[in-house]
Amino acid sequence: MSHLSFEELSQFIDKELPNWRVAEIKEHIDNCPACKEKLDTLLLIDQSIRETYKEYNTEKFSAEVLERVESKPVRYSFRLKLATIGVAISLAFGITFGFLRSTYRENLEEEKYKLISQHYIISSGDMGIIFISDK
Amino acid sequence: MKKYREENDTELIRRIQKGDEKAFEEIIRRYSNRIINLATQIMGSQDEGWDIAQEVFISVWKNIKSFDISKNFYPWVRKITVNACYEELRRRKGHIESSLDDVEEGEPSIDVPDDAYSPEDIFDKIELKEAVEEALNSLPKHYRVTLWLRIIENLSYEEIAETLEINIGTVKSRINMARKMMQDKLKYYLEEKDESS
Repeated sequence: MSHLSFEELSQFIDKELPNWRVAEIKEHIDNCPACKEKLDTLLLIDQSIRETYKEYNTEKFSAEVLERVESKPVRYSFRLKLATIGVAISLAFGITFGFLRSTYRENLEEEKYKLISQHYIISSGDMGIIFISDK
Repeated sequence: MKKYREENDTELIRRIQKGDEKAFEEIIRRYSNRIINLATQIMGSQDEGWDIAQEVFISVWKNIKSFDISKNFYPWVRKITVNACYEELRRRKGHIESSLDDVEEGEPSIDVPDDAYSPEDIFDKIELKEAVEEALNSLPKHYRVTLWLRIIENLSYEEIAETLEINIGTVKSRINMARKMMQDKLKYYLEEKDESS
């Protein structure tokens, strides 16, 4: 009777062998103390590894993860808010400035045509009316 | 929170996809221990395992919308964990040691002397648990992780192959080798146990 190999015993405890082979191995182990001992040793090692599984403080872990998850969107939203406020101020300033400028120009043009209608123009150019005299 | 504890994963995931943080908290409560344990095995230290596990759950929160609700949640998180750990190890070391498919059939030899974890040292340990922990930590990383996925995560060889992106033959050889190494490292302790029983 040949003994079972280490590989086969390993696959046996991992349930990775076909049913027919499992039945043969079970029968062999019942009749072979040496293989039974090898199998017991492997089972003991597996069991000992299971016992190394640790219990961690999952509440602390969870709190830390949630804190990190929550803090990221807040930072993002703060930046977004800052950018939005900046754009809004620029727009308001731009619109107001534009409006004031066009009102000023309209008034200036109006005054200019008023003067032209009341005076003779001697000379004019890009810089404006150089000289006028009363009609 | 009681309401959430009674819900299954699928229901919780649906809630998380809508931004429900309480549901996310419940998912963390359910799986964080397993994820920290797994990450610790891959990274080789509890602190690093803890940190990587946090990154994993943050990544889950960010990417949950892409998760296919018809699939099981835990294998997805486990895969993220394995990838995150190997990615971190690759980033740090930048060489082959940490790659997912760095396997070698039949090496290293179990007779390689390991001064830090010699059988004599292990023999001196009073607690079997401590001796096993040290023996496990002294295994080459890819052997330790494969054995862990088999024994603790209870994955089949095929599932391990999928998770680690290696072939089944490699899984078998890693598990055999890991068990042989464990047996060798614990030999004196195990003999002692036999004699005393």
